Amino acid sequence: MKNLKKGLLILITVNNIFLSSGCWNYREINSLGIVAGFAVDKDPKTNHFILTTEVIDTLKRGEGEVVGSRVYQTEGETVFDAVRDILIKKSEKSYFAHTKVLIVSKQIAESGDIVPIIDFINRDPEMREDMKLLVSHKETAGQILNRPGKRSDDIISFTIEQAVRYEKFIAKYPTTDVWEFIDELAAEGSSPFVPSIDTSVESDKEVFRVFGGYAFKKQKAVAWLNSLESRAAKWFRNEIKGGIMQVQIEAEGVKSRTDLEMFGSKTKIKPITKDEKLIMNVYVEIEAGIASLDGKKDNLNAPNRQILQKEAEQKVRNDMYKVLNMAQKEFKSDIFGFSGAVQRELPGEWKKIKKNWNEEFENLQVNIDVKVNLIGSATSPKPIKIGE
Amino acid sequence: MDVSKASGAITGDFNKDIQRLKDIFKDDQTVVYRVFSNKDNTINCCIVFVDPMVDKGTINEHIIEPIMESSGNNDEVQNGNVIRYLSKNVLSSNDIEMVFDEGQIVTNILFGNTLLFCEGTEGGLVIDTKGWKTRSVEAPQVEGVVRGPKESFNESIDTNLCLIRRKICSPQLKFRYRKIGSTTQTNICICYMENLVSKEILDELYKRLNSISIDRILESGYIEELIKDHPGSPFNTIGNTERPDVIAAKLLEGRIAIVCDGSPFVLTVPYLFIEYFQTNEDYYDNYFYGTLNRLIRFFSFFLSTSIPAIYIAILTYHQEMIPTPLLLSIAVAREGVPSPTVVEAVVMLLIFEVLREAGTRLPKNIGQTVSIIGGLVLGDAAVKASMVSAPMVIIVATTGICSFVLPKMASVIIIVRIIFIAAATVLGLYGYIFAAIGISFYMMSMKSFGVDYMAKLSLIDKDNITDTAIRAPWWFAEKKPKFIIKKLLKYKEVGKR
Repeated sequence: MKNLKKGLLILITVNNIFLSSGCWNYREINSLGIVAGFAVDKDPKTNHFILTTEVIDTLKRGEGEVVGSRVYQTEGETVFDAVRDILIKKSEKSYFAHTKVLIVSKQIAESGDIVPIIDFINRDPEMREDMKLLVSHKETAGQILNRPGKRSDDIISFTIEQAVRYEKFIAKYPTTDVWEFIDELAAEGSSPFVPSIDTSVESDKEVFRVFGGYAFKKQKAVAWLNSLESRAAKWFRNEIKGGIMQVQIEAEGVKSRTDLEMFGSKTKIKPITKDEKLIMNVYVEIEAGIASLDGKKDNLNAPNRQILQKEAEQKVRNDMYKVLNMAQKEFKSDIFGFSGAVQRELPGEWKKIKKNWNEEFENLQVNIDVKVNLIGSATSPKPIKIGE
Repeated sequence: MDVSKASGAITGDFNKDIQRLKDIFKDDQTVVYRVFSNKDNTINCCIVFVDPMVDKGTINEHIIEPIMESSGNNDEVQNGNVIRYLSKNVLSSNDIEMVFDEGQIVTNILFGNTLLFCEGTEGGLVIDTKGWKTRSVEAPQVEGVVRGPKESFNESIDTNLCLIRRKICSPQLKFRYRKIGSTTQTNICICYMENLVSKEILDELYKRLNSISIDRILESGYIEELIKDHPGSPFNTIGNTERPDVIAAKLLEGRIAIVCDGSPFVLTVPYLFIEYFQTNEDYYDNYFYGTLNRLIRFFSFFLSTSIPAIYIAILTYHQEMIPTPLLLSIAVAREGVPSPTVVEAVVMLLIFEVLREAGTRLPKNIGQTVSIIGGLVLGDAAVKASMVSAPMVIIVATTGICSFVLPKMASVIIIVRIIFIAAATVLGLYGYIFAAIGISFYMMSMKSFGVDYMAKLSLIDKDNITDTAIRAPWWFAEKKPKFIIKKLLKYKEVGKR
């Protein structure tokens, strides 16, 4: 009797392990079609989604094998429909856990059709929410991945992901993971800011380039910002981690150009109310070093440094005001996170203005205070001397 | 005494006694019967011994010669106390015993002693004349060290006891002989420190030794298997070593050693799991180095039991856990490999075990062949022919090398590894964790002679860690005497087996 009980107990336990854990999805690694990245377009006639998927493929190269990729294009009423259709073309089941990038076409971004795609990624257990989201600046998103003359051992999606990741040294475009996009969609008032991707021809080869970004208003893309505007927007968003800034100054009658390398930047947005009016105070503090001089003037000495610093501060402030102006007057979307700051700092005030935040944003008074700390001149204390 | 007389060994009837012994040792031509008298023919005696077992010089010089030279012209002989006279005044041997019991006489003769009995006297004298050849004390074959004593036990129990005694010159060190094996009558000796040993464990050991009924003990492994806790478990609950210094250290910790004649491996009880990881050299070298080595051993245990299982689990269930570049290179390597990962792993591990076994059994001078065939043919060619993937070869090689770090654990590691692989195959990492938890439960429930098998491992504090994960220096540890065994014992648990 005791043994029977024991046996039954073990049986129930083991059964539960199998039934409730969901851990029985045994698959061999070489039966997977690992998807590196995918691009989504929409056919304007049929209103179908066109999915361009870059799938990892192994290629025979001499004696060994190397990793390459192959591009498949499928069509479906929904994205999932198109994903399953990959099976028709490739005998391996597509596997999305290692997918790095999602590129959506401009049309989808502008029409707001991005939501079903994002929802699918968010809901699917296999997809990761940390894949990078980009908007194609080209006609279609598919042609970024499926470009003619693509070498088969070239995995474009991984290269794009890498490029997006190196944003911290460039600071000319935003980076957005899918989960960040979702968070910003859900947040009250604020809107996402997504990098854009383009291709260009270089030495007879088509290469992609990531630059600029699309400002969204909720789920719809409303404006494209170029590199400088993107950087300025990123200053508001406190997303600058590095990058280079060119400053032109005039000292003692000589014009000279200096490169400043940013080592870090901190932005604090402090909303205050003054006479029942909401005012945004934005404080930007940048740490930068002098990275290169053009040799026309020694900008390393103290007075010139001061001028340099003032000029840099002025330049940043101007850039920021310019993009702020665009946001308030042209595309009318809060991509800077002002609403979040108000919610954090003045929750009572937020309740009052929540309903007409859009108008409030358009007429918001914003004070920008920039401080640049020059902390060094890299490895040389002197400019290069040019002999007579 | 009466009883032994009744069994009628040596009656005093000279010819009858000789005949009786000849009946017992019938057809055994190694037994020698030598009848002789002293110079005035007052003493007639016979010695019986087994020719190859004795030192003939001793018999000639210390038994036959003095008796032949002696004279029967004294009171003792005339009163019939010949035996007493001989042992007291004539025989120049250090170990003489009066024996009446027939069984004892027979065993003694077979053990290389010489039986002397005289006409007209009951009982015989057993004189120590053992003189067989033994292997000399050599460097350890299995437990070699870089720093530390380079002597090991051999097959002779006398030599072994001598080696132990030389380490501990204390009257507290006790040796108790006993014979086990109804046919082989193998000598074993139980050694312990009277002041450190736990009486409960000692009693329990005697109880278990008494319960042994087997005809032969050819190696200490027989005893180990017959008295160990958890007889069905792959885990050792009795330790063995061929090193006298290890035995001395364990005796001084309150453990009991069992020396078995004919085996260079001496057993120690109780045996804890942590002892797998402790090596004598840890204590002879710098304690940082000792600690590092011990941590490496723990790590190797984990690796050699778990690597294949974790690899299989991740590769077949949790591909999302692998970093993308690694996933790609594994995917490329596995391209064209026909068998599933599990089959690949099991076959490769099996081949590794076969190679290991072949290496142990082969004569040394053709051992090279194994490494060439194993390394070159199976490793390299199999990968080139896409029979197995290169990562799998790395996994198996790592597993194998790690298992060599703990040679005494070989059986445990193999079985635990198989359990892990099976669990990982069916349930992925979840199954692996499940199996690991199960095995931990099992090990936690084990006992060795009433001591928790996992003692000192369940808690990580200052008291427990000094000789487990780390080897604390002696000046740090000396404050606490190391009678650990006595301290760890749970009295009421003794005797459960």
